[in-house]
Amino acid sequence: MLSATERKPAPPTDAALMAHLLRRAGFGATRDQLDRYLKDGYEATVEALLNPPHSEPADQDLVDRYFIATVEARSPGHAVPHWAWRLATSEHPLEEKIALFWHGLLAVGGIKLDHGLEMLREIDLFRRHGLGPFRTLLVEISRDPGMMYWLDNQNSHKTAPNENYGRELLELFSMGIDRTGAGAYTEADVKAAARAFTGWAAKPTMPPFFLGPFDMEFIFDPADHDDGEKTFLGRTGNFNGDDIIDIIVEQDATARFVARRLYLFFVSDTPDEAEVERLAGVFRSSGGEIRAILRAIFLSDHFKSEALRFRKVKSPAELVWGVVRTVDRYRIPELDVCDLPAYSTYMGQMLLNPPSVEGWHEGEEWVDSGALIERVNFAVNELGRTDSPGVRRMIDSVKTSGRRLSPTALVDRCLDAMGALAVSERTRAILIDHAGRNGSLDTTSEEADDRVVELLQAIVATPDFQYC
Amino acid sequence: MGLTNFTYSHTIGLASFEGRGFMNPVDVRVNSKGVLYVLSRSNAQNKDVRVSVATLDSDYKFEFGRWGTDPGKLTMPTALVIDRQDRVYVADEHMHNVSVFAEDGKFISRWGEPGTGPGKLNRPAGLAFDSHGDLLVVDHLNARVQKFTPEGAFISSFGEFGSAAGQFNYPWGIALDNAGDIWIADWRNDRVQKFRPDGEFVAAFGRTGSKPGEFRRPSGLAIDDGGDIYVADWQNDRVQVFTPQMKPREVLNGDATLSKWCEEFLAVNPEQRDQRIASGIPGHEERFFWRPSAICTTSDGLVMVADSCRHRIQIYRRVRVPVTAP
Amino acid sequence: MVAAKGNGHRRTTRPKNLVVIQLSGGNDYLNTVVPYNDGRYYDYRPVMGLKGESVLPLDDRVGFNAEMRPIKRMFDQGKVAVVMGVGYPEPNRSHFRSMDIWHTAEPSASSAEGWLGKTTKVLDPEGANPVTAVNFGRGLPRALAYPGVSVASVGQLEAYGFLTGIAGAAKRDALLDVMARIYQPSGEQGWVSERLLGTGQGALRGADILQEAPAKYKSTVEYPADNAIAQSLKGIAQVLTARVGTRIFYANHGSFDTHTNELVNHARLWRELSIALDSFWQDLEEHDAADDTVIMMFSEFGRRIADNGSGTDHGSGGVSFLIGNAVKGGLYGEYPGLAPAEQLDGDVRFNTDFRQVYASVLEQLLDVEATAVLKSQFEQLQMAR
Repeated sequence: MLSATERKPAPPTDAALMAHLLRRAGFGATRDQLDRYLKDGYEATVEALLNPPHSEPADQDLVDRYFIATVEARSPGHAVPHWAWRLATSEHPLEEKIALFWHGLLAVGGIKLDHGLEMLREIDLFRRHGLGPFRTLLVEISRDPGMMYWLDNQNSHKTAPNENYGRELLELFSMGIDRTGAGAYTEADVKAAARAFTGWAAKPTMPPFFLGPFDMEFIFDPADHDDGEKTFLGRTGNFNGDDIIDIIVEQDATARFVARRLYLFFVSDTPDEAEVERLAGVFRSSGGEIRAILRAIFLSDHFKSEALRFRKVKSPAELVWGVVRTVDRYRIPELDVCDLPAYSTYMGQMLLNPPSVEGWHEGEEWVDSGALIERVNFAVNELGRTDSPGVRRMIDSVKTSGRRLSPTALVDRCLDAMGALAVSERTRAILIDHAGRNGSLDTTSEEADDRVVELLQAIVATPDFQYC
Repeated sequence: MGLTNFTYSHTIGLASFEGRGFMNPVDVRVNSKGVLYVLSRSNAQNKDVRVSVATLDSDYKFEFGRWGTDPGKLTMPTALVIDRQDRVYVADEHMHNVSVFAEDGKFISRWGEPGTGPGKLNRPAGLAFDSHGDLLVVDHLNARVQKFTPEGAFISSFGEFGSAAGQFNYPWGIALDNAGDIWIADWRNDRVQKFRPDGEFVAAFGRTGSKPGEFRRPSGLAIDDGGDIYVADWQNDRVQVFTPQMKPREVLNGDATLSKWCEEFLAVNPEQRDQRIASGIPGHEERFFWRPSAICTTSDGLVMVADSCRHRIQIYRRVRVPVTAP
Repeated sequence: MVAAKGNGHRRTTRPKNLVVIQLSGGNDYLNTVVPYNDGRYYDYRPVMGLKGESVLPLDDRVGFNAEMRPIKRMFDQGKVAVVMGVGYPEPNRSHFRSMDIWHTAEPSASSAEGWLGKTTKVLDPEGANPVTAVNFGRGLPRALAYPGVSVASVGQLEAYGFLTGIAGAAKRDALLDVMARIYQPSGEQGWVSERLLGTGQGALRGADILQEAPAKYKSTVEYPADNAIAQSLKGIAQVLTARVGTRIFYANHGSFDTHTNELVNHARLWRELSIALDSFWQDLEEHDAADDTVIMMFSEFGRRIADNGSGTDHGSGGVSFLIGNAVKGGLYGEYPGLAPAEQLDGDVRFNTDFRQVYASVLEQLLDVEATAVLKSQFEQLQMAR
């Protein structure tokens, strides 16, 4: 049996905190990436994450060359390898993470839209504006032809407004409703918003079937715009859509809604109301700048506390691309990069195609038994590929950490090699027990690689690994 | 359009995952009987890879070399070339090999394996035969050009990674002129380089940009009987034509009309015809090249461009065919 | 023609097991159930028209594609209901969107909830049985998706479950042993929820049940090895005859997206499917399971009336099938007219809403209130015996 001190997990370290930050603000980090971040320090890392350069990656030309169909992506399936590569290799993980966040919140279903290029443009819109002022983001998404088409705004006319966009803008994109279904707005506000957005539409699109897709375009048709007086959330004027958005972002409900959604995505599946209120305050004081709210999250003791580590169920995208980045699989856009989105789909998240305008049901709902089998098998198979540079580095770092490793040391070295990972005490004890059935490990022995890999695989098969 | 040396002839193609049509065509060649071979690259999800065979007046014949890794199948094909016996050679950058087919599509053999040593391949791209009937392969991740016998026996190679004269950065297309000199589209260096048959560097032209004479990722190359050089200026969505002295002669941006196959498609899909008209696209964007990858010239003055993202081959005719040097 | 329709609440003696076969890609209705006495059919299909021995007449107007001989035999035995002109208003000709509409029974808005997932929830509200619904194929079709419902997605039964990518039984068993221990609900405080542990336990249990099915199964019926839908149906027979409480099975056959070379491809698809169904039905009879099982086949849309020279492009109205001893065989609904005035943009116009078929299956064969699954009432077809 293990002694009590041996059972006790290692005390939290700077590396563990940095790993926590990178799991939330990105898709995890390898042990050597962590070391580089640690050299910069926590606050500098947060700042760097919050300020990605928004430049096209240097290897985009190669992605286009190898995956030529993503250049003219007619469908989400044609488009998604483009994002798969960015997710697997981007050096600006929060840029991709925030795109994933808005993709699930300002959700456009790619399959109804059936225009892969437009979906990629939207993801890029989220990269560009996702960390900036919420107002800009709402204005941009309201001028997004894909969104206009998806929520039927091309069917919204001066004489017969279609309420779909006006309603979802308030209910799902900005102000929200409470558990009783009540919002801080009325049906009359929905109608007023719908009237203000008449004339905002997607231009009719060329069908993509015979020559490939053509760019979608936003058009504003003044003749089809209801320029009459409207009363919206207590104000009256000849509002256009932009005016509606101006009023929306001033609302307390909007500040709270955005704060809560960011909290749920970046901090915990269970909201802490006081913290949400604090973040809503940051929304108001910063003019609704998402970057400011995230900074307030990442620098808070609340976020840093150990009680909040591993409190979020990984989404399929977080799991798939987290694992791929951990094993550092790709140097060039290999063919099987194109398979990654399929694994995410098998686990319940088809990128570029949220199931409805409400996005995905997140948290515990991600994991049903079929999804769990896919999650475990994917991760186990990736950790079993000893030709992946990241797996090789993990094995080597465990093997060079000592000539002979006790089962406890072996488990702890493996967890550390995977990027300062942790598991619950109970899980750790079972893993140590399992590692101990073959005694301590002679790291120079022939069996060393196999035993390390087996333990790495056991770690990613745990329920603990489903959390980030 | 102001074309002086060329007239637009017609377009062949239709986006299709099987049979009549192409899916992301990346190369085009004509055999000795004037039959057209088009290589479709497609993508990993839909797997609509194949070589399509048709006549120049849009009579679809058959296809071969669909998705797979078994002999006779293709996965990520990059280039196609036809020898004097009308055998068809296709390079595959996933399998790192070259497959050989008979004129009727029957698989004959394949050769090549991954690696960095002499004769090994790391993502073969462009293909061209020299006047001896040996096959030159642009071995793009190895940053070199290798010469093989048609059976795949290694003969020689030249080139290395870099941006200096004679070095390559992800090279793609290749063409030989009448003197046997070798021209390479040095893709990521945004230039075209010329070499002697033995690999000795002769000259280079082009630099990054969008003005005439500048390139953004040149992919395919062709040289006509008069020695004019055609460059598929990939990211600039155009084809540039240069004199044998490497001076800009003409820029083609694409002039496509609806192909016969598209017309047939729209005839039985009336609401798509209506949607096309309602979109206001016809007559404008529809005609331009979108990522032209490869070019093929014929001795009777045709210039064929594989218009990869529009799933078609745009065909031009040289107005004044230069007198061929004896 | 059996045209009787009515709002029945007809309970069957014993609820059936449902096997759904999705014909992906848009099955060509006109070359499946051929209007061989309508001259317009041949006018519109100079290349693709089926005639003579290529048609197995059902009556003096329509006949099955000759590749469907085994299905024709079952039709003659009164086991096959053919639902004519199935579709929905404002047809969508995109594969994915139209398939979503069929999967969610929701033509007007995008929904994450599948009609069979919801049905599974009704059949097993607590999720007590991890294999109440089993999908044969990789990834879950949206038809089976529903919050809180776990559906097993099986590629190959023998290879189903956790850690199947690990070579070596000893290694795999050792890791499975660790998993079984770690996923044991503990009552201890930790960040792992009891719900996730329970999911893990259910997944381990479900995998055991499904993996064991082939070993328990004995049959004289041979399923052709090079026929993917036959292999899926064999897997279904193995689970079905193991009687582990599975009520809904799902399998996929295709691709029916016959834009080109349709005469060859469409014929091959129906030949494979007919042979597979023939084997499957013999197998069920041998295992005394034929009375308890109903097969439903559908496609996301039909194809154009006019051919394009070598195939047909995306259309709208199509045909669905129900097969089983519990099914009252025959032709349901009218064959849509081919005259220009009766067409819809060059397609056959639908005349039976697909949700009428769903409602009939739910109430008459599964003993599930249709309104518990579908958002509104749909007139049922009296399809149960």
